[in-house]
Amino acid sequence: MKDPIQKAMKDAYKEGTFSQTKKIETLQKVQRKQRTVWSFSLTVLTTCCVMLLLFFLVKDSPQITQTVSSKSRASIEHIYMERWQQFSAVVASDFEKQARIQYLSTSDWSLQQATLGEKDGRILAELLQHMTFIVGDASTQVIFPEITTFEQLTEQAPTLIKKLEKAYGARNVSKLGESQLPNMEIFYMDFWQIIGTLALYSAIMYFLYSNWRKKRNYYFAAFQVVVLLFMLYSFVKPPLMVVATDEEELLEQSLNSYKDFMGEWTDVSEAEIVKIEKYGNQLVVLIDAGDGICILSNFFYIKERRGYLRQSTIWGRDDVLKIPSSVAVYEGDSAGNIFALPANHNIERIEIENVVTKETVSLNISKNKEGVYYLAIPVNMQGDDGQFTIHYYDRQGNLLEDN
Amino acid sequence: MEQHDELLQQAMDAYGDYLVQLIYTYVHNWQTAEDLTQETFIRYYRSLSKFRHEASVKTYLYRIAINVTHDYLMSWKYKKVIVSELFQKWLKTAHTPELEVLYKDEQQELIYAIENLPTKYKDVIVLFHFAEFSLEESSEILKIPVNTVKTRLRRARQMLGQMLEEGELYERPHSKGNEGRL
Repeated sequence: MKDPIQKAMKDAYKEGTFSQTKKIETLQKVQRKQRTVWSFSLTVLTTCCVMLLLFFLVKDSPQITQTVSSKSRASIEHIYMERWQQFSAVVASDFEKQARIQYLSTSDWSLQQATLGEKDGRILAELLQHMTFIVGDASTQVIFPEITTFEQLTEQAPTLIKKLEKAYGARNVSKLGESQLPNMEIFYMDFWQIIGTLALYSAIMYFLYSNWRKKRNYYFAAFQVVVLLFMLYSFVKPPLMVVATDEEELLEQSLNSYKDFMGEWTDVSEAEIVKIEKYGNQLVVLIDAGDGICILSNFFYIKERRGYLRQSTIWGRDDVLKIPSSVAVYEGDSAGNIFALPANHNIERIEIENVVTKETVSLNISKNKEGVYYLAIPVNMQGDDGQFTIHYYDRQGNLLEDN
Repeated sequence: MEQHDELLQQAMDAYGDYLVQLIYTYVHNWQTAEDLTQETFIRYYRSLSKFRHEASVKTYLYRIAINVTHDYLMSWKYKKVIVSELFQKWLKTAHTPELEVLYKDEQQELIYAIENLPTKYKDVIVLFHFAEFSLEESSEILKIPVNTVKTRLRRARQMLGQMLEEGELYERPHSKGNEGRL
């Protein structure tokens, strides 16, 4: 052996052997690893299947939704009253076990989904939940009023709910339409958005990991950890778009906008909603802020966020507050305008006139109460230049103001 | 699968000892060298279905072994061992009469110098001299150009020469495993 390096190394390392025990252990390990890969793949596959299944379960069943929405209002009212009578029977039986079981064997889900008009629907759905809760746990006695008609039920529902909340506590009852999901971005993404984001992030992670494996640079590893944390944060961060899901939030958002402009010192403790009107997917809220000030806000429904997003808020002590809206709500309208009139206003008629063609469209206001009104400009009145003037007339027919 | 088991058995019989010795030059611990050799064979087994025999089994195995060793040397586990050993050595006296006697053996000095070479120079030395690969084969295993292999080999030999001449080894006792060779 001429090579001194080779000779030195072979002499020095001759005792180094790969033992028989290690060879047997290696064979056992590779066979075990083979099984691990299989079980891992199976786990991943099963998890994906379960996730898909959950996704389809969580989504509304179109069949059931259709059944509910196809029912007429009269039919829904009838079903609600039937349910109330069943409940009354349970109360009359002094919460007898068999009667309770029979009541609880019927699901309230479809009734809770029925939309009877935004406010009524929510209140009745909440009442239904209370009723189920009481029948399930009849440990406290509450006196229930005699209700024979649907109108009575609707009218008495808020009082009844308050009474029941006092007796049982409201912690177990969630209101239909309330935001029940954690305030994290991931819960507001749709399915494909989640899949797309995950795929993108996985690709970035793979790219970073493979780069790190090549370079083994710890600064790079730290960078990778930062990217990972950022990606996780993007999933769990509170959504940027804040939507309102109930009256309280509608009020809060409108008042926040008002206070942002007027200053934090502005007292709005007495403010209350006096009118909510819905035009298409637009919700208009009129608030009495006290001291003769009215606040008018309009919100648009955002399907993906399951709530209403505030578009604009105006306020004043004027006889009329107006939100010009370029969005036509109904077919045949080219543009719509929303007017809010405070209590004791002096306006009886609002008229929109095309400056060029002199064509007009008007709205008669019969009551001297606060209210929200929608007055659209029809497509055939739009004209080429589309310049309009708005006239307001009092009860005597006098022109009050041009706008 | 049985065929793969058979191939693995053959590879372990033919190259197991060589790989343990090769890896030892990097990790200076027989137990770790054996563990990393095992990892090499596991990776070899897993890639058998992709192995197209364009390279020889020996070349293929040595390439995996070099990669496994490099991965280990870059790992936190290895760095932790190094730190704890350095600390232990700092507590003890580096120069012992026994060590000095042993270093006087020229062959041992050479081995010690090789083990203390930077990894990229050690790669070419062990592949070319110990594993008897040609320049081209070494270049293929390390995935670097042949000229780079040549340059590194020349530089490695120069470094070995310098280290032996200057007796630098006495100033730089390397980190050894628990069951070191000396």
